Amino acid sequence: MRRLLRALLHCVREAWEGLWRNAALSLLAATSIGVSLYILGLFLVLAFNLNLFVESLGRDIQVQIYLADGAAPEAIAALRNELLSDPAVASARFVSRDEARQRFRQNFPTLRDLSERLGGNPFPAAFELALRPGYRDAGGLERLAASYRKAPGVEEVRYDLGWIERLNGLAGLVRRGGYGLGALLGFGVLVTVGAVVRLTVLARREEIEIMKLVGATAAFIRGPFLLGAAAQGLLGGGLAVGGLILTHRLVERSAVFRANPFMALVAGRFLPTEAALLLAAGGALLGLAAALLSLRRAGTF
Amino acid sequence: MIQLFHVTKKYAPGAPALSDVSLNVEKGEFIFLTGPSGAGKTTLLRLIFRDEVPTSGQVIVNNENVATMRSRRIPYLRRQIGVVFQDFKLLPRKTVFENVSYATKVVGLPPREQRGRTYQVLEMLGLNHRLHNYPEQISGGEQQRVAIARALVNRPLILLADEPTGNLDPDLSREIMGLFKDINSHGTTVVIATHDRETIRRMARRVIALDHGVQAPAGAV
Repeated sequence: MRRLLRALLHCVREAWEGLWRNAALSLLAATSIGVSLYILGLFLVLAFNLNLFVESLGRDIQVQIYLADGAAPEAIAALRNELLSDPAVASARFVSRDEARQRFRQNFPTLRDLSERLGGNPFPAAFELALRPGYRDAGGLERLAASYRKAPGVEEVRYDLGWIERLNGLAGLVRRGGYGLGALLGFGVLVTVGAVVRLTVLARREEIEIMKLVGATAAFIRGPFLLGAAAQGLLGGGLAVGGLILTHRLVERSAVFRANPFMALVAGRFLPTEAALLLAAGGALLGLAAALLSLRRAGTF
Repeated sequence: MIQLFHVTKKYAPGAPALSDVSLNVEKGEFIFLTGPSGAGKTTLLRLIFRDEVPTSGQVIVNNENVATMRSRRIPYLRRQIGVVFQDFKLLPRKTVFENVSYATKVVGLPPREQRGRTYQVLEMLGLNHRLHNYPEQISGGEQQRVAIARALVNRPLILLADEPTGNLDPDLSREIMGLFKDINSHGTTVVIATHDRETIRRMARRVIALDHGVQAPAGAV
């Protein structure tokens, strides 16, 4: 245990010294990680806000179950009970034929005499359903519609999901674009940080040779390099998150943001704390991966 | 302690660096490896501390087959072997004391023991007045003694030295050889590669001669 603690302390001390010995190179590695994560973060902020928007739209999704003209009151009551006990249904409001006509008259005052001209009330009675979260996607809606389409007294089940799905697709596209670009930049980081680690190894080749000669284990030799690279990554990740917060604040305060409601849609809120922390931790992981790959190639064992 | 069975080492197609070499070094023995430059002395030493693997044949060190050893075992083999080079291989940015204590730190000794052993070995080699000097501030002979101190500080079973007096004048060479003799008298097996015939003649120990990678018959030197 003590030996392990000593080895750990050695790693920390050597990593710290290594970072300062090559301060410029360390900063270069941290900055390259920071820039990549910053760009990835911008895409994530965009996708996160679009997602929130889509979600808020999802809350407004309604399903209308139109009832047949001659539906028996017992069938309607049975349907209401069934709807209220359905886990997908948050609320089920009954709209009578008269209420439907009334609503139409309010919404389209120029056509208020339509029903008289048609010779009666053409509007069917309906149940308007609001859905619980988790059932607002296309699959959930289709299942719900299918289960009531054939119920006694039901004429038709309707919902409109088309444009919400299109927005959802857009958010997914932004997210995937971010991931793609992130992966590309991540590869760039692996190359940059890897080169920095290889340069450091090269600068300390003599020392490493002697360490191997006197019986240092691979972990003892590699540990400080790995820890150093992880620290550079964490610093880069921190810089990225800091940069993103700053950018978000600046955008929020800009005149364009206030004047254009679309801006609130794409940048209204910052990433959740866990996501921001994960982004910073991702930097550490990226640094670690780059060091692992390049140490293998640099032959420190 | 060290056994080689029909060891051949080839670096590239053509003449091998070592060809079918077999030898046995007993525990506590002191031997010389000799031969002209390019004879294969350094290659043979590197095979013993597993800096190289043989192309064919077996290398046994302290009952362990070095040729087939897994890489994670290598550090533990090397902790049993001290190695001294002609060019000393000291770290220029570390003091004499740090150069030696570094070897104890690497093997994970507690700090107090690191210091104790380092003082002890530096005193034994007459370097206690040079503790805080950097390698460039001391003479060639002293640098070689620091390298020997580093090789000894982890109390190895075997000491390998590759042309340890190659850069030293005759007086210093004699002094360093005297040190090896002392170390050997404490039970450490010593293998020295040198082409210095005068040293070999004066020390009167067993000699293994190599020429172009081929072992000369016993008594041929």
